[in-house]
Amino acid sequence: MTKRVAHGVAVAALCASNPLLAQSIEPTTGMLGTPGIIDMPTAYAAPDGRFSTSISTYDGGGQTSLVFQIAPRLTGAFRYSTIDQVSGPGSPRTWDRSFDLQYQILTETDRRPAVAIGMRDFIGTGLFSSEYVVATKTFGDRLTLTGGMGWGRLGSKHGFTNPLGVFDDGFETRPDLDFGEGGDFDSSLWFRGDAAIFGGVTYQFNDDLTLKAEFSTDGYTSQVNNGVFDRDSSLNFGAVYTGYENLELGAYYLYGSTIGVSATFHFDPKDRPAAGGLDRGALPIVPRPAGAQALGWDIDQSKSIIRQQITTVLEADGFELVGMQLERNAVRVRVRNTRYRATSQAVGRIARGLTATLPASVETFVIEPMNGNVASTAVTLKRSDLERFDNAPDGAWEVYARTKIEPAGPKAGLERADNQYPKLSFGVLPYTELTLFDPDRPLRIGAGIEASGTLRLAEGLSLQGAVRKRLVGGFDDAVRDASDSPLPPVRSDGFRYLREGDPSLDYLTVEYLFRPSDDLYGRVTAGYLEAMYGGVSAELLWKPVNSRLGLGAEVNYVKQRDFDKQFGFQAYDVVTGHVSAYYEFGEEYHAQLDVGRYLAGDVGGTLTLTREFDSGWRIGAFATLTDVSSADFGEGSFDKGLIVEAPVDWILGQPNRRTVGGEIRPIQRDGGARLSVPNRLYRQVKDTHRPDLEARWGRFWK
Amino acid sequence: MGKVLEMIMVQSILKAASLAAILMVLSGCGNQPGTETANQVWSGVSDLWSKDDQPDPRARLTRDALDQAEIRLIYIEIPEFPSQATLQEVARNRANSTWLSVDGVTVTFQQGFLVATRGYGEDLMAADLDAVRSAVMRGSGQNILRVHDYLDGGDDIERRSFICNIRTLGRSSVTILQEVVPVRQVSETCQNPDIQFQNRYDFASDGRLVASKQWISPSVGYMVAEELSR
Repeated sequence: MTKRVAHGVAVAALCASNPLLAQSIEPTTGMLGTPGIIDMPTAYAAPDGRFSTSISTYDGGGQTSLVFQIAPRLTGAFRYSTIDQVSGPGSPRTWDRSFDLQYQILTETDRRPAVAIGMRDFIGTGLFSSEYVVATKTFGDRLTLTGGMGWGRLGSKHGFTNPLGVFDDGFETRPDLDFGEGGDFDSSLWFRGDAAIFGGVTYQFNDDLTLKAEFSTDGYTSQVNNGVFDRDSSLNFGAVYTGYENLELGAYYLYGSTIGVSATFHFDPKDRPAAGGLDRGALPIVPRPAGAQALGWDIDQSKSIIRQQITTVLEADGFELVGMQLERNAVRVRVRNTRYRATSQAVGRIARGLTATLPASVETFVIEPMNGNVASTAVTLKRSDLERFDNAPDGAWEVYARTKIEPAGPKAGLERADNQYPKLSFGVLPYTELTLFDPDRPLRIGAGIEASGTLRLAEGLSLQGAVRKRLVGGFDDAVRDASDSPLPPVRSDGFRYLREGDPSLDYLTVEYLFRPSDDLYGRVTAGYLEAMYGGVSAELLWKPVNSRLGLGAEVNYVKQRDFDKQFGFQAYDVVTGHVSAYYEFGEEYHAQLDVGRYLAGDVGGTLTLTREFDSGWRIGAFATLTDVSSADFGEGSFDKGLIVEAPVDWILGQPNRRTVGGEIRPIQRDGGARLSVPNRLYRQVKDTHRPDLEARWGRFWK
Repeated sequence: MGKVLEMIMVQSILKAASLAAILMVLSGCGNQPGTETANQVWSGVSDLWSKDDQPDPRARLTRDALDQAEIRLIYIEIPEFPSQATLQEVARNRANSTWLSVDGVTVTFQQGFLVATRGYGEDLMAADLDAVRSAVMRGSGQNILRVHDYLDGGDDIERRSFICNIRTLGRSSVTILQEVVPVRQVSETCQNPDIQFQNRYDFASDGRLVASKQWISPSVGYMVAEELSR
């Protein structure tokens, strides 16, 4: 029931549009990285889409937080906290992961405050769990006042009998903390037990400095009881410096006894540091002289020369001509794009290259961009539109309005470009790898050299592999091996692969991609699929070019690899696979549902919700529920995590298709674990399809 | 160009400080796309250290040589970075001519009026200058509309409009390739609620626009242009 409520809140938030009246003061963050005073929250939301990383520490503990403004009113946070000497003087520190959500029920207007409801640590161990309702109002243009009621940890000092008791006596007592395996929704605690009234004030002293004071109702009870924290006062004071762009620095005097500091970095996925990007100018449009269309040319004699010219011109811009079909009035080219993140930009640049090379009679350009190893879309442009709207105001939309986006044509009819197959590409690059959240050492980093290569044998058919040798860092002290769970150790002995697999064969596969019909894509991959598994994987995806919906199915037979990541296998094998639905809601929100059998043989489903910014940032969360019970799953109760990916072109300002980042799991166990196959189909084809093309069409003339 | 990169890199590094993942792309060799990433990082980093004092690209040019050359050149300076370069004319389409620098920057003029740039970051994607152009040619005009297209962080075209006043400043002269050219100077003052800028146009006696200072965008600022080929 409460899970459904939380879901309802999320859906409501996704549907909420921009608030009519924005809050007048940009909110600052507190010790927890979320909009707040110091330890207490405010009712404000961060600017929509903002992603923040925050570090804070005080004498007695600290935390690192990732905070994302999921929608204009909905704020989410993931936090990794530490408490020193948790069980008394001299005892070791403890680490804890937790999630927060805050929803702004009312935006601020001239006459009413902003009001928000929030939950801290609602699926962690419950160590920090609290709930609150809070209101914040701005007075003038510098002062804000905040008042709220808190439960749980926020009602652990100055508390009184829960007023919700008028509805049900059960609200008056908060059950004892029994977190079991942790990581579950422990809704029996929410809004129960004593409540307390907290409050605070912020004053914007000048453009760079905000002063803060609050009355805290967080009792730090266990730390005080264990004699490791002095809570001499409920008043906290602080100052936040915002003079550096996208950085907040805070200093605090806490509880009459200690000081704390914090630093918060903000990233706005909608605001690239290099604005539109430093991409070099494309080849300019070469217009045809008037009347030139009528001039005759011998199509058969010219074909191979023209193909050679197109190859050269496109190569200069980082493209690879795969095939060409030339007629007197039309051309169809299939082109591999390895450089430009936005397919619209690739199409625009390829089109400009074509104007420089094709005889004047060729009026129709059909461009089939390939971002991965499969062509799925045909973009049809008129050469005279390109000539007309080149450097014209609103030229991108003028062209889009006259552009056809359809499924790519058949392979038949395309003349292959020279020297296409076999083709070897290779690279030797440094790599880094890291492990997070191991209580023995929360962050381990290794780095070394990776050699990788792809040998393309025919269209869709390729051989790829990578080997690594670690040079720096080690995982010898990563000894938390195979979990104590009754499940096969399909992922939990990952540390052992890190320890023993050096040098390692990371993957070695033969892959075949094909397109059985306009809207269907297929993939078959065999070999050493990933660091821990090898076998065979087959996938089929239905995704029409103009559709927001995709449906897929994947089945794999895999065997677990030896710990040394060489060629051998262990005894464990499994048939695993999923049926998947993908949906693009628009406004950058995406959902993916996978239902099937996981690596340990457990059966269930994974829901992934992401916000995929047009700039290429991808931020989201996923959760997997299977028929494995919480007790069998072990710590964390079920598999879940975050997705954070930043596009390299956003960071560097140079055209680039890569992203950095990936999945962040609070803990990796064996339930709900999926195979990690390279080149799954959906993301390969989606960004050449209409929704993505249209969203980034502004780059057509870039 | 190095300076542009430098500016962007400094900003990016600050913003990306906690994206430790940048470590993943430090250097390398080969022909895979990842190698391109590594080289981009390297060139950005090495640009931070090289304080290149470029020689004036006009120093090696003479009037005679240029008059006889097959190619057409223009001189462009971006005081904000600063950068200076000669660009060669590479295309003409409708009333537009496009000029290219050796490091891949392109600028497009419509009869001397800047309508597009590429390679500076916050580029001018296109501009509607029909009204401005005729007023500047005339030498006067009040409340004339100027429209600029930019690319925003979400890859959408963002349109900014300005209201401009145009007046003739009077007679003056400019020196182009050691030659003093008498000119008539016209100024264009533009504003919208967020931005204000002032362009300047120098017309030779035959009506050619031989030199100008035209605004591109908030982060790139102005472009100073001189027509080297006649």
